[in-house]
Amino acid sequence: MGIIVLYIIPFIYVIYYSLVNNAFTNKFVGFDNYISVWNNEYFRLALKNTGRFMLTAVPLIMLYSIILSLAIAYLSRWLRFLKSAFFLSIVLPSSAITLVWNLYFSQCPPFESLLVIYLWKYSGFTIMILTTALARMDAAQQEAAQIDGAGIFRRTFYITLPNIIPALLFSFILSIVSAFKIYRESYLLYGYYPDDSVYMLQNYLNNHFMKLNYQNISTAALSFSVLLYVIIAAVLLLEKKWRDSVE
Amino acid sequence: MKKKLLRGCFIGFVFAMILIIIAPVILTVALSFEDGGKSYINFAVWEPAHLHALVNSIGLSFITAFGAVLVSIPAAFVFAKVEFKGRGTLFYLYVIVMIMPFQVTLLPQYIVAKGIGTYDSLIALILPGIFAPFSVFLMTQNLKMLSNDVLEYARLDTSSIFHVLIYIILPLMKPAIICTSILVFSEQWNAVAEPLILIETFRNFPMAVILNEIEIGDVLGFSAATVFMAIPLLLFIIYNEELLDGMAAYQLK
Repeated sequence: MGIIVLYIIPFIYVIYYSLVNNAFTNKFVGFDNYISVWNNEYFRLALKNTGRFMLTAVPLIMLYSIILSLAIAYLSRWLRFLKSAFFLSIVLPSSAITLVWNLYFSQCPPFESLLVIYLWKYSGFTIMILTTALARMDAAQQEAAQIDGAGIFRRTFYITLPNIIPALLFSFILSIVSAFKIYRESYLLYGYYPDDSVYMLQNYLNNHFMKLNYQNISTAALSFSVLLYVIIAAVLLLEKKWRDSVE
Repeated sequence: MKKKLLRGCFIGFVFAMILIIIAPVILTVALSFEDGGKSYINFAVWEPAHLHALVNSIGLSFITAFGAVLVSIPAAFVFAKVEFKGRGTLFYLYVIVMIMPFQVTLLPQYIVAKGIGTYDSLIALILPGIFAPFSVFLMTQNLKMLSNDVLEYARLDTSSIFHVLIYIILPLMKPAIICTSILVFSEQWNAVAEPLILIETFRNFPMAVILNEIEIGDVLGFSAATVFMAIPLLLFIIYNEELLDGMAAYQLK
């Protein structure tokens, strides 16, 4: 009995989302909407900017957190302290941060500003995931390699990194997702109508929200999420292929 | 020698980065005292709008965190420990919703809020927050790490699954529960885009939105920001241990 009640709760939730989404797509079948949205120059601009931001921000944050996590794992004595220090940025509210940013760096170009704030704010999650994975790693392999004479760099590239691939993948996906959240900082810094260089899909969606243009939002939002899932699925597939080829 | 140098580099690098993380906090606090604390008095006495927004934020975030824990414990229990058909698929659905950008989920939220008449009230923000898949995900991953033997022993000793839930699982899951509620709390505390869409009346706006209305460079803004930051910061410091333990399970599979 209890179980039935218990898993109705998540079900209601899932239905809640799926139903609402479906009600919309059902209402507006046909590709007319898609054609008009995809031909809209702002949508294209937004798509271009979002793509540009993703392509710079996600590799950057990955690189940054991998280097930092390796360094943190190396300094294992302070592991917990360091981990929590980097996690701090997750709980700090963005609206307080942008106040400081505005005071000192308001002259910075918007695209780069958002990039820095993104790195600052969301590296907490990725560093947390990577350091946890690093700490769980089997030390025996490392020792064996060390005895065989592999230097620290070779050990990092051939043993450490391949060992934490699942964690890398998860943090990669999370980074993509959190890159969308940058709208919050973008709004706080530049308001509803930012510079053309940071006019992203989120701005497009939100501005159509103001006009209550349901048709447009749902079409844009759907194209947007399909695109996102295609990217993520592609990454997961590539990883699987890669793993199969190794094994 | 070479090793020592490398270690030194690592230490320097890591601590420089930590300084960058902490810098905005220190700056905000320092700037807020620029006029000797006068702005704090102004903030408390002359700005009822800000105070009201702060109360909004507190109520909003605490209720959401509490509700999210209430919902995610049973849901996570089912996902982690109860075998049923389609469990994997359902859990994947959760993950898919979890990684969905909030702009996409905002539209359904808006429609629902309009439909059930919660639009323009704090409940419109609280409900989606409570049912956010993130908390269920984190809780499930934590519960999966809990050994099945413990549960089986408990099942043999007591007859009801609810007894097990209350006397065994809850105490063991303390870090996960605290970690989840802090993350949900700070997410709600931080929300800017959601209130902008779901709330119309100025009085109902939370602090995160109001803070942005204060003029750039105004000392008042920084004292408000200090107060605003202090609450999640305090939670972070008090529950640091639990936060780290709870996050250790934040992995896919």
